Amino acid sequence: MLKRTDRHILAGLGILLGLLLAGCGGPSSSWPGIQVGDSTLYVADIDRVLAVEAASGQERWRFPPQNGAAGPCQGVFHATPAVADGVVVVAAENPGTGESRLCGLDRDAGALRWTYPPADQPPLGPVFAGLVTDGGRVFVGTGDGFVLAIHPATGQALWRTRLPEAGRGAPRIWATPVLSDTLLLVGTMDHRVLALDAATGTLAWPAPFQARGAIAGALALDGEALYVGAFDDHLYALDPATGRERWRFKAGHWVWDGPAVAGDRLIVGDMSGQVFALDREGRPVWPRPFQANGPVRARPLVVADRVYVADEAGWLHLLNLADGAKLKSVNLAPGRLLTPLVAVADRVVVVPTGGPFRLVAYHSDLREAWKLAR
Amino acid sequence: MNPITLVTNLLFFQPLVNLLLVLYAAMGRNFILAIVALTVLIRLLLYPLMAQQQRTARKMQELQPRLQELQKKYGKDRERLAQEQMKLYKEAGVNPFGGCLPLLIQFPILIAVYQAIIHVLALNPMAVIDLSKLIYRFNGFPALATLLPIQSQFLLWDLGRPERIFVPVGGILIPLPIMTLLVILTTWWSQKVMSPPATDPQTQMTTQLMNLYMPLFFGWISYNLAVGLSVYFIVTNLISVIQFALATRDVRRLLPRWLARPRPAAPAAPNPPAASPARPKKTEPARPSKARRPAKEG
Repeated sequence: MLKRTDRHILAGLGILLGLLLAGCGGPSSSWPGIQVGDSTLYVADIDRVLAVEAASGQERWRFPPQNGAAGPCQGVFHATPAVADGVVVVAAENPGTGESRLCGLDRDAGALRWTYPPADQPPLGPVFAGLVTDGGRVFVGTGDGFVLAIHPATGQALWRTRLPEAGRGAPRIWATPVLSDTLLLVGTMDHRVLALDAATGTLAWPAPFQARGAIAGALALDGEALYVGAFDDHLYALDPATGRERWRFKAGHWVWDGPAVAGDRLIVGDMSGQVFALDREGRPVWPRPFQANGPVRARPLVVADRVYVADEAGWLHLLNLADGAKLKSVNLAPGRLLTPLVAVADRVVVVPTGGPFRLVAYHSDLREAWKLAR
Repeated sequence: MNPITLVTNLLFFQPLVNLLLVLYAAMGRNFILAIVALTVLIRLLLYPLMAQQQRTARKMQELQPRLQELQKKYGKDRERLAQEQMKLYKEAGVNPFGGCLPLLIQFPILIAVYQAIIHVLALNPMAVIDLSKLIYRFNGFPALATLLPIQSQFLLWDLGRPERIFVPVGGILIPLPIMTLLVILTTWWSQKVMSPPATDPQTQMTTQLMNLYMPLFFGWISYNLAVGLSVYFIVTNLISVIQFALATRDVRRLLPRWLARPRPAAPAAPNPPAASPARPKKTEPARPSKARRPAKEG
């Protein structure tokens, strides 16, 4: 039994509850994406797309421009951009609905050239997977199970394929696909890897490869094998021509991104923070895995005889490729390091998620080269 | 992570997330059934508290005639009225605030359930990063993680997103918030059924306002947040009503008044029942509304 005053208290609590529940959503659904082209970094950094000189950290352009409007290309940017035919292709997500449009930006000036689909047509599903290109086409996987090939200069769709379902609703594509000769290899959250003919979008393998866990991260290819990380704690090596499994390696937790491939070594991290070095048969080669300070979501980076590992706690580690020994670590917390590292112009570039800096570049020994403040 | 969040996660939120995943597996990978099962479990856990609330409500109903008398007697002296009312509550062993506790406990549970639904559905990569830290592992094997991704689509609805269904009418898209309307309807119903009778016109007006305001408020929350939460609200409301009916053994009270009104005795009946279907006025729960409800039997 509630008296009038109690009911007023409850009404107040109800309003508080509404505010608490309404505030449950986070600011961003994914982390920034970064692409390198001609010593320039193209960064889809949530609220803007940036073109930055890799050597100096100088901003060349941004989209939307300062005091300028985004036009039909509105939203947040996180999928790794693709650079082809003088155009930087990015995905703009409407944070309210999760729907996305692709936008073609002029590579030199950042001006908007086209959007796909055009503003008068329904948008695509969410685009979390990185965009990939073979120079003449840009390939996109969407969160509602579509794969598209787009002409980068015009923004026209060359083909559009809906992946078949496997009993879990529309297959979500979050994993950045990879090109192997004439095939586009696509991993899905419903535990599968499928191959599409890159020219037509038709299914190429007789049957998809089936893992036991979701495939969310970028696939990796070294010419001999396709490497796929999964949420069933395994790294799989597949025959890229047929999809047949060659071997699998059991990690300590989910394997999100595929490995970095360096000569005869594969370097892969897992969500428990362990980093493993494997040979081409999936056998560990370091005496023990390296233990980072947080989950390792992003693919490590190998440059010469050094391995760079970014963890979610904001640490960047430098390891010796031969034995996994730690040489140095730097901390970028409160930024979280979820985006794969890139190497360009003798720099290793980090894109923190959150924290005071948009980009931080290091020399090969992790001495800081430049920073771009948020 | 601060220590309070850490402890809350470990003791409460993380078990809830994993329970939801287990229920999802047990319900044949049907997430809406998993939410229903979770709601039923939560209501079962809260049953002792809810029963206490209903006992208090019943006792308050029994006190209504005496409260009305006090109202008549001391209506002009509010201080004295409050004193006498408290005295009466004390004599009858009723805590007038006893009904608040179960309602207050429901707020953190509601927030935790909503967070659990959103986290388990993990509709974007950042949400999956968070989820990876919450899922239990058994002997180092990610058994529950292999359930991901959760199938969030149910008929017209994506359970992890706000309800946005539109129907074209004359070239204009009109929103059709079915789940939101069900939340409003069931909230209104449970409020209506369980609202105790008012003792004075002011309280009656407040009750009427609350019976209007609360359904609209929960409807507003439902329209703006994930549909999974609407499912929780609807099931909670229905269970509340069923619990109330079982506790009072009065199914007629759940019906609209025009349906629940007792039929007039047949004119040809040779021996009309001695007692009216309604209780004598003095023991009937006073409800100064337009139409008097049929009183409960026994």
